Amino acid sequence: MMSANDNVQKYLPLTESTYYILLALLEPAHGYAIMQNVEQMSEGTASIGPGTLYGAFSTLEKEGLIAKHHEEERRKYYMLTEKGRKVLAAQIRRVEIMARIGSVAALQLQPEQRA
Amino acid sequence: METERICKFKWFWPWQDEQEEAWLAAMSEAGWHFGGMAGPAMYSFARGEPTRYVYRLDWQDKSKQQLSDYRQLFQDAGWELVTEYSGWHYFRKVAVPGQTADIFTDVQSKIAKYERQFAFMSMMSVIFLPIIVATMDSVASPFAKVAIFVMLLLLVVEVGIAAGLWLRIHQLKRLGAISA
Repeated sequence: MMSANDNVQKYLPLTESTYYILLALLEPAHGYAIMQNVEQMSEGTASIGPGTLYGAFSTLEKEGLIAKHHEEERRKYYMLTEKGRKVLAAQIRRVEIMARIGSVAALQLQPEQRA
Repeated sequence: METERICKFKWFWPWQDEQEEAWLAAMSEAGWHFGGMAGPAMYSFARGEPTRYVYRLDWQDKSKQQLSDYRQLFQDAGWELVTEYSGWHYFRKVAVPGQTADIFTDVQSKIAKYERQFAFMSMMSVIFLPIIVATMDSVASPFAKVAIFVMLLLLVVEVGIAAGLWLRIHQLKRLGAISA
């Protein structure tokens, strides 16, 4: 039998796109709003195309990480599920470790430090 | 004055969609804008102002009704759906210098597009096989012989397309092992 923790672990690590999509779905949002939000949140380092987002919606919905919230003029609004929130929280912990170790390494990578 | 139109025959295999996109963009730069398919591999173009467009292709096998939110999403993101032809969706957007415009922004979703076609082609081949066998069993009339020959030819093409897609998928998967 799979424990609740394994149920979260099997999704980790998330791809960069999935990570940002889940972040953008803390509040109900539709596709284009998510695309704009990701662009802004990531300071332009990440962008999600409509083809990628459409595919992500169906996969994430099938896996129960997001759910349809409502529909407005052919625009589907999605939101994180309880399972999705758990996965996102676990991913954030991983990202925090990566960022911490990365900021130490970044000091060593600066050219003046190498002399 | 009536718009000048031309029709061009050009063959692209399903895994050559990036070449197809580049070709359509080059045609638009030369002032010939893609308007739709006049038939298999028959591209219809209309004369217009030379424009730098980015063309992008997707393949979906769902019905139009099922794809209404899909079309809305692309439209919201500034992509014009030029036409739809046997599952292929042709999108375009005016190119902005220094900006990349893509409908698929990671390797996984690019792979998924080819996998959808691969599944479709494999299914078609599997459906074809028993039909061919059943036809072989029936009376060996000249008509049945021709029919078997044509179906075998189609089967070879289908299997060939599936194999080509499979190679493309694996090429992308190698790339996907190091970056998203």
